[in-house]
Order: sequence, then C-alpha cells, then structure tokens
Amino acid sequence: MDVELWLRPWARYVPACRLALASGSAALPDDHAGPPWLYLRQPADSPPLVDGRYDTAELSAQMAERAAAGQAQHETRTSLWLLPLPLRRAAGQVVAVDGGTCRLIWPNAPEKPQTGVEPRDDRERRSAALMLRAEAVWDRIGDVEDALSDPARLWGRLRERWTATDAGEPRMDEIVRQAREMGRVLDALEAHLRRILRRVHRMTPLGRVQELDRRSLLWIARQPGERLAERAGDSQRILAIAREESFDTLENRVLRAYCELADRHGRDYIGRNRTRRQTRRARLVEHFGKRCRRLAHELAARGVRQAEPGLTPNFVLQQNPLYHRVWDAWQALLARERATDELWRWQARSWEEFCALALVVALMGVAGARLVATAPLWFRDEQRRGTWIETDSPLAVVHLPDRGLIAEVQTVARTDALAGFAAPLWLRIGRAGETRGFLRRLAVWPLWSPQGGLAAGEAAEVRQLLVQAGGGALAGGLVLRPAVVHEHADWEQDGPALTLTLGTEGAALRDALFMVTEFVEGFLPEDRP
Amino acid sequence: MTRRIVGLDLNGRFDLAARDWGEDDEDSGDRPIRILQGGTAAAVVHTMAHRRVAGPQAALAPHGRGRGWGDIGDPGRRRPLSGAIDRGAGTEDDANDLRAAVDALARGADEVVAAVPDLLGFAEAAQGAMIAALRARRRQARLLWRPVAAFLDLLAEGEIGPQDEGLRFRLLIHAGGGIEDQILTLRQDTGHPGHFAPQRDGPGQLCASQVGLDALFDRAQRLVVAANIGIDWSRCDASRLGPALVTGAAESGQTEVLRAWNGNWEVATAPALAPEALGLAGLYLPAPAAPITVTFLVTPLASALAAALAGAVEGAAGPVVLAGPETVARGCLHAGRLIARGLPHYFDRLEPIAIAVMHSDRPAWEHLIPPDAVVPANREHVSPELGGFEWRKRKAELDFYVLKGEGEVRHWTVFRPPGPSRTVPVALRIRQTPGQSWARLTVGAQDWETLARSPVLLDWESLTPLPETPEEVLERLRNAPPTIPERVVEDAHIDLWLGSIWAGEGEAGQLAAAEALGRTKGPDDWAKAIGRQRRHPDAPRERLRPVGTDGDLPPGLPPEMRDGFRAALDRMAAGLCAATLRDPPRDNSLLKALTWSFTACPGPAQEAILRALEALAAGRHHPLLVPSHASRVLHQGSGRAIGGAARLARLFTYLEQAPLNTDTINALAMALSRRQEAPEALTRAQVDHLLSRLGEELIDRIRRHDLKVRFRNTILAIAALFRWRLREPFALLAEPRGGHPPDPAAIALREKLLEAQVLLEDPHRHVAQREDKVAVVKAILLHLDGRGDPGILDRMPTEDDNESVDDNA
Repeated sequence: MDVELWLRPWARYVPACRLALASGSAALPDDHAGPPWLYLRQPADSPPLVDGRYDTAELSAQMAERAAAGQAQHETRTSLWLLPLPLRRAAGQVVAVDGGTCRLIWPNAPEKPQTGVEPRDDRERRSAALMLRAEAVWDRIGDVEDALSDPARLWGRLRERWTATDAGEPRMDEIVRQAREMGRVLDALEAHLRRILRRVHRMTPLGRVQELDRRSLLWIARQPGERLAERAGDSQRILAIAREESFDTLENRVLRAYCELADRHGRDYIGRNRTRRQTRRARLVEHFGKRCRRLAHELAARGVRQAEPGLTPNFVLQQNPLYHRVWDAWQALLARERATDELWRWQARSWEEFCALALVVALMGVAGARLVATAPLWFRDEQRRGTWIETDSPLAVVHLPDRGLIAEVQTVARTDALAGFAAPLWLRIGRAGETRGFLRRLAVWPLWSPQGGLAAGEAAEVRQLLVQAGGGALAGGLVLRPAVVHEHADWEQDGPALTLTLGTEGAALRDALFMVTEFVEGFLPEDRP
Repeated sequence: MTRRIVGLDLNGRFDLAARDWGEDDEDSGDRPIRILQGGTAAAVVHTMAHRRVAGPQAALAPHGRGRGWGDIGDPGRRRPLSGAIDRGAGTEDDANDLRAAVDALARGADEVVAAVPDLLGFAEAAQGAMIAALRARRRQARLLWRPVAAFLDLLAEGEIGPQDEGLRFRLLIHAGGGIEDQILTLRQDTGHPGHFAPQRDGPGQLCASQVGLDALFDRAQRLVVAANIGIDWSRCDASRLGPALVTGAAESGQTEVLRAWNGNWEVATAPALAPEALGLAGLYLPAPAAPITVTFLVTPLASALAAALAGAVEGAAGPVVLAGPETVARGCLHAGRLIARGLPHYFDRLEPIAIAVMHSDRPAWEHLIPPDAVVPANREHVSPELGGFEWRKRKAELDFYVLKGEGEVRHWTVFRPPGPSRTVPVALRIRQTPGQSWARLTVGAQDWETLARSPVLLDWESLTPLPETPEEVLERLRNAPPTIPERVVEDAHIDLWLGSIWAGEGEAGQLAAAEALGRTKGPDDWAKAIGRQRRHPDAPRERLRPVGTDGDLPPGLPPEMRDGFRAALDRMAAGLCAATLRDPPRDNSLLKALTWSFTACPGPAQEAILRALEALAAGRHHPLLVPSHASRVLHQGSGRAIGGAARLARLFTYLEQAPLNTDTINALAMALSRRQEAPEALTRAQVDHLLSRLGEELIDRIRRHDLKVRFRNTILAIAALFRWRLREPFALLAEPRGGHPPDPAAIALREKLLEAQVLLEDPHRHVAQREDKVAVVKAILLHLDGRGDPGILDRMPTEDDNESVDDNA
C-alpha cells in the first residue's frame, strides 16, 4: 500500500504539501493549519487501516493517477481520506503502511478539554477555546433545525439570522429547554427531598432504646454486670439500633449529578454566546445555572454523594414524576456529553457542513437571486461523525434573472478531471435558456484548523493551483477558514483566489458572507452573448 | 406549558398550517396566529438516503424532476401528495407520505388538528387511517370537518356572531374534486352559556366538479405549455407554473427555470390567466332544503379568479361571501384551543348504532346511540351499559347483530375459548368521538376475569356488512331454531383428592396413592371417597366432585394417583364382572364405587349393569341383583355410569318400559341431563312416550303433595328431553315456527304443564318454595314456545338432594 500524508486537499498539485509515510513514525509540521488527509494509491473500496480499524477515516475524494506503462497508459484509482482529530495528542494515530505501521503524531494538536475541569495553562485554554468554537459551529448548524419550523422560508430565515446586525436570541439548546422546564421541578424537589431512615448502631441511653438486634445483644452480653443497668455502665447507655435520617439516596445522588452537569452546560452555553449575555435565553440559562449550583452545594452539605453515569435507575427514578424528569434531563445532558467526543474528533467535517450552508446563504445575497431548487435538509436526531444534516447534491440552484445565469452549489466530490482538487464544494455557473449553457466552476475548500485564522500565502498558492489547472472551466478558488475573532473577517485575495475567515457570529460571520457574495458576483459574467 | 397545537389544512393542492406558538415560546397560544405555506400541488420526495420529505422543501427539491438532474431526478422519487390524501392514506406508502407532510408543517407540535372533507365517502375507515397516519411519537392527531373548521374561523373573525344563533350557514369549500357543500347551524352550548359553536346534521356533498382545483390546475398547465412553444416539453422538467398561477403563487410574466435533460436550463414564462379560460362560469349548485342566512366560499384561487368563481356561485346559489384559504387551517387551530379548554368546538349528530336483542317474544333493535343524538364533539360520547346478556358456561363464542346507521348490519362473533367456567352476565358499551374514526363497541363482563381485564372490541373493518336489510335480519332471528337446553357438566377438583379446608382430608388421593404403591383398598372406601361432592366455597359455589360427571379426573392430579385410581377401577370392574349367582357380590359397594366414577366406569362393568337391568326387566336372576337394595343402586348407578350411544340406547329402552319410580326417574334425569350422546341414543317415539309419562308423573306428584326428589327429577327429565332438538331443531314446539307445524307431543305436554302450574299456584294447597317450582314449570313452558333458557338444566335441582336416598341403599 502506497500511503501519503497530505496537508492540503489540493496537495496533488503542490508536492510540498505531501509527506510519504513509511514504517516508524511521522509528525505533522508544527505550523500545520488544517486537518490531515491520507492519500492511498488504491480505490475507495479499500479504506486505510487506522488505529486498527478500517472505519476510522472518512472518504474525501476519489481520484486517478495515470502513468505510462509500456505503450499504453496505466490508470491507478486513488482515494483521499480525512483523519479525525485525536482526543489525546500523545497517542497519535497508527496508520498501516506497506508491511508495517506508522505512528502519526501531531505535536501541536489540541487535546479535548476534560469535562468539568477549568483550564489551567495556555494549552488547556486553547483547547477550551477550540471546544467553544466547535460548539459555536454546531450552534450555527443547529440554526437549520430552528429554521425548519417554517420550511417555506428556511434559507431566508437562515440568511436573516446570520446576517442580522442585532445579535438576537442565542440558539435554542437542550440547556435552554431544561432551564425552562426544570426550574419548577427543582423547586418542588428541594422542598421535599426524599429521605430514608437508616438503621445504625449507636450507644443509646437506656430510656431511649427502641430496638435491639443480635449485634446489640452480643454487645450487652459481653459487658460486665448482672442486670441491664449494671451492664449499661456509668453512662447508662447500651449499643442499640437507632434510626437516622439520610438524604444520600440514589435519586438524590442523581439529582446532585444532574445539577452539577446542568450548571456546567449552562456555563458553556453562556461562554458560546458571550455577545448575547443580556438576551432572555442567556439570562434564563445563567439563572438556572446558579440555581443548580446552589442546589448541588446544598445536597453536598447534606451528605449526598454524586451519581456516576451508567447506573441503573431505581423505582423512585422510574416512577416518581419529579425524580423521573430529573433522570430524563440528566440522561439528555449525558448524551450530549457523549456526543462531544465524536464532535471533537470530526470538527473538520462540521466545518465543511457549516461552510456549505454559508455558501448557499451567501449566494442568496446576490442581487435578484431566486431559488430554483434546493435539496431538502434533514436534521438528524444525533450527529454522525460531526455532521448533523443529511442532504443531497445539488444543495441549491439559484437563478439570477438579471444576468440570465444559474448558479448551482454542489456538495459531492468530483470524479472527473477536477477530482484532483479534492474540493468538497463546487459552484457551477451556467446560462439559462441556451443550449450550451455551462460557463465555469468555482472550487470551495472549507479548511478547518485548530488555531484558526488565515494561512499566510494561501491565496497565492491557490492562484498558482488554478493556473496549473489551465484556467478553462475552473475559474476560481475559495478557501474558508475559521475566524479567530468575532469582530471582523480576515481575507486575502490573489486574483481568482480568495482565502477568508468565517466566523460563527457577529461581524465575522456577516462580513464573511458579504465577501463570499461579492467574490461570487465577481465571477458572474455580466454580458449576455 | 400549554399544548403546541397546529391547525392543518392538508389537501395536496394548497396546503396550509396555522399555529400560534414559536419554537422557543415558553407558553404557546399567546402569539398571533401564523400561517405556514405548504405549497401548491404539493409532493413528497424520496431523498437519496431514502427519507421522505414533503412540504415546501419537497416542492423546491430537485428530486424526481427529470433526467436532467441525474439520478436524483428519477421520477419515481416524487409522488403527488393529493393522491395519498384522496386515497385516505389507505396504503402504507400513502400513510408515510401524509406523515412526511405533517412532519414538515407541524414540526414540534404536540397535537395536530387536521381538516378533512365532510363527505359521505370519508367514512370511519378513512378517518381511522388518516388519524393513524397523522399521529407520530409525541404527537396526537384529531380530525375536523373542513366546513366546521371554516365556520369556527368565521365565528372567531366576527363574520358570524352570537346574534345569528339558530341560523343556518352554507359553507362552500373549494376542493380538488369540486366544491364541498355543507350547511351548519349556529347554536349555543347549554353547558357553557355564552359559548357558540356550529351544529352539523350529517355529511355534506360534493358538487361542481368541473371547477375542482385538479381540473383548474390541468387547464392552467395546458395554457402554460401552449404559451411556451419554444420549449421542448418532452425533454425537460415538468413546469409547475399552472397550479401556481391558479393559486396566485405565480403571476403573469413570471419566469420559471427548468432543467433540460442535457443539463442546461430552459426558462418558461407564465401567461396571463383569464377566468374565462379556466371555465369558471356556468356553475350549478343544488338548492338547499331550508333557507340559508349567508353562504361562504373558501377558495385558494388567486384573487381575480376567486372573484370570478364567487360570481359564478352567486349565479347559482345567491349572495356569497369570499373567505381566504387560510380560514380552514385557522379554524382547526381554534378548534384545538377550544378542545384544550374543554369547550365543545361543534355539535354533531352521531350515527345511530343498535344491537339486536330479544324483547319478550320477538327480536328488536336496541339503540346504543339513539338516532337523534346530538353530542358535543370535543369529548367522547359514552353510552350507558346495555346489559341483560349472558355468556353461557363453557361456550367459546357469543353472537351479536350490530346495526350501524339505517341499513348496515354486521354479524359479530366474540370468540374467547374456552369460555367462562360459569354463566356470566355481559354488557355492551359504546364510545364514540364524532368524526374520529369508528365507534368503540366493547363487550365486557365484570364476573369473568378474561373480559373484565380486556373487554372485546368490535373491529368494524374486519366485518363485512351482511347483504340483508335490518328487517330481514330480525325476521331471521325471529325464525331461528328454538333454544336447546345445555347439558349439565360437573367438574372434578384437585382439592377433593389432595385435601383442603373446604374439600376435606383428601381421602380419594390417599386411596389412589396407596393403590399406586400396591396396597389395594376396598370398594367401600372408594365408594365413600369418590361418591362425595362439595360446593366450592367461592361464588358461584359450583358443585364439584372427585371425578367429573364426564368421568374426568382433575387437571394437575399426580400421575401416580391417576394410575392408582385407574388400577382400582379395573380391579373392581373385574370383581363385578366375575360375580356369579353362586358367588354374588357381598354388598353394593363395588357397584357404588364404579358408578360414582361416572363414565370412567370400565366398559365391562357398564355392560354388566345393563345386563342386570335387562335381567330384572325379564324377571331373570342376576348376581348383581342379589345384594339387598341392589335394584335401587343399579338403577341410580346406571344413570351415572352408562355412556356411549349404544349402551345408552339400551338403558333408555329399559327405562321407557320400566315402571316410573324414584330410581328410574333418577336414572332418566341423570342420563338425559348429563350425557352428551343422550339425544343420539333416543328415538322420537321414546321421546314422545317419555314426555307423556313424565307429564302424568308430574301431575301425580303434585296431587300427592310429593314435591321433593321425585318431583324435581321428573321436572329435570322433562327439561332434558328438549335436548332432542339437537337432532330435530324444530321439534317439541307447541306453536308453529319457521314454517314448522306444532308438535302434538308438545301440545299435550303444555296442557299438563299448565295444569301443573294451576295446581302449584292453588293457594289452598301447601307448596313449599312455591315460586321456585312455578318458575321451573314456566321455564319449561317457554321451551315449548322455543324461547327457553338454554341454562335451564344447570338451574334445576339435581340428584344431590336425593343422595341420602342413595346412601341409604
């Protein structure tokens, strides 16, 4: 198996972005800004063996290499695979290469922040910031779910929301729902916490003894004296069973665990929506978080321990309406926690999904744009390898009647001569009402990177790439990278190549969308033939 | 948090949804109503990942639009929603399509109230299928007649007000196949003064099919094609401009981009759509039966076309008020809110449902829902329980004739094998929510756990209506074969073998265990052990025996006891058969032990008993006749133990000729009332002869003031003779029935029974428990009319009361 590590999806045309993998170990460059890809000189139906599994990597593109073999040309089918971000940097990823294995290390890769642990150093702070950024991307993708409540205006509502200067309410989230619904439940439970009377052995004054058991009787029998009063000694106490009130029940442990988890989720939510802290939802979540924190402290003070995930619910948790709601809410938050592992690993795919939506939203900003067709968006109940939305290609077809043009957003990797560019998004521009309507294409590369921001010189690299492609149908390239700040979008243009940072909120999102619109408009031929 | 309700007007032509809440509202119902567009001529598409998507997303989707789109354009990926709706979500595919449409327009809703056509064809089956299709996880569904929904919105908008109470309004709803016409009356709810709602008196009708939306869409589409002659329509997407022009979603001059099959793009332009071109003039609408206050027309047509249609309707039906297409969806939402507040959203006339029951001497339809019942539609109407029915002991099924409406009769057989262990009263109850699928007709029985736990529900759809009219069904019931008394079966009980507080010390079990170990026990011990009977301590205090009257042993009896008992019987039978005149049985214990085992008595022993009786009749000697009181034990034992049609025939031949006395009557009563094969063993002549003799005997007993064992066995034997009807269904009738003439033997018996009744009712005569005895005579008289109680034998006194006589023997 011939395996290469690619640092850019277009590495086929830029040898500097390719590293041959051999047995032993390999490290990604310190300044690498993007996810790593594995390039295999074998077809897509033979996936790479990564960390001992064939389903670790996700197929990005399928290509072909031609080489002269004697008189004829020999074609080799090849494939490009996206690698997930490791949860722990030290472990790296083990890739099977010809006859051996290669441990792939990413020295500067961030590690997934530990749940419930405040960051202590710069590295952890960067990880926490990256986690927040990833969650913000999921929030933007989640906007689709909200917009689906009025499907006739889906794209319009998405555009309104993403381009609004007024920040508006932050996105609906499980913690917001729980903040609304669980407040009354917590109030009711706090007023009537379940308690049990536990039987304990305790030295009890003779006059208060109510119950003796075998252990108590044995203790009495061992004491010196004839009568009970003598055996009770000077203190006139004997070992007897006493009943003691305890709050440390399974259901209260779950309640405490829930309160602590809800508090943490609340803080995450506020962190993701720092610019919207004064909105109704944010205030609601903040208030709920405080409420949970207070109750968790109170429970801890009453000796209630914390439940661990994975326990089996008892009768109270299943049948008591209030505790059952706590159980359900806890499970919902735990499920979200579990999902974050997967989302962390596949942030690059989430980013691609967000960029695809952003491209359609930007396209709708072109003057007079009218949707001709859009593939239905199906918002999954659970994410799948970082993606929430299920859709088909073309994602959108937009009519620009003023120019007599049709722009089509395609979301499948190409398998023709353009496959080597490995762009997951393509903009196809054609002219309406003509027999030879196809005009040109624009390749779009959403490139996620942990550090965010632009990669220096990338626009020139893409321009060079386009020149290498020979102009023709491929007229431009657009690279979308995560923004580091919310205040503005950074960009770098070199002729038909634009690299741009795309934010998840505020001006960084709005400006980036306007820039994409402008960039696309620049490619639209003005004159009718 | 109040429920999130969505009002839906899904018709596949112009779908709308109304809701008054947002995704993130804490309390729904406080926002202004928002209308969601479902699109014109809606479709359902199948994505590449095999999901069904409907609503506006499907309308815009490239799926199924044609080969210009590649694989995704395969026409099989797109289906019109109107087809699924018109077929009433009849198939799984239709139901899934409909569910996808609701998912699209009612995302996040707790409940949907969906408008449905108020037409006769949209009956319970379609309603049920529709409700099932609309429901989903965490989403309830309710249906509402489209005109009622429109009326509710007009009421909420003030177009109709409290001042119109009692007035009639005509609602014309523009639908796919024409115009749905319904008349509703405004009335005030007596339970909630100040609350007004429409009253519906039956289904509406469909008229003016030539202006149905489907027809208009077709005409408009043809105009679009004709206006764009430059487009090769056979090689590009189908245009949707026609329907869009009709509903106002597109305007004249508007362009539509279509994908050609070669991947390029064509542009179609919408022509001007004149009302004349759509043929909206010259409409006919039927005249209403009673005066109408206002006629409302609800149509999704573009304003100019709607005005033209309103003009045409005015020409046919008088002044018309136009209402927007969102009226229906909004009305559904209003209805949902009213229901949530516990207020009736409309009043409906329920379709009457009746059950065929016997009224004294003739069958009649007893109404569970009265024909004129008008009920509030927001809650379920629950009928009072209709009782007076019985589920007979051990009968696995019960038959009902159910009349729905005016002429739809279904024969409903409730099957619950093996049936109750005793006769239990059953009751019928009906529950129905107007316009929400089938009425729920249930049969329940509180005293029978099987039915108490899960009453049987009538599955309307699995029963085909009978071809007969209700009157013909009643006539059939009237001429049904007369009732046949059911034989008496007394069960064996394990406690009488193993012992318990009520059943004693379990002597039978001890004997059987000893026999199994080879320690034989004497026939006297066995006779005492198995000849006893007990009543169960719990109601209904059934009579139980160690060996059942059919010779059965109790289920669960240990095999070794079973084997021990069989061995003892075989041994005793061998002893009985070995008896000779020189070595006769010492006493009657062998005979008693064998005959208390009922038909478990081995065949040779039964033969020996019969031979002894025949010897007695012939005046010959027989070893079994030697012991003291042998005749009594032999007679009474023969009634218990003789089984099989051939042997029983020999027994009846003997008893027919033998003088009637306590023993012979006991044997007759026992064999006739308990043996399944008794009717097979009788002849018609024997039945007539026995009836005549037993009738005489009855009168004789009453005159002699002997109203104890012999009297009761006589009555039992007479009643048991009606089992002859198992062979001749119309026999022993004193009145003509079903074309069969009266039976002389029955007429003679009736004379005797009437005489017996007179004697028993004579106040100068002392009769203990007079009423019970008269009731028994009357019950037999009813059998002579063919209408008796099939459980008469079970209710009769049995030979238990003369057990002492037997014991004395």
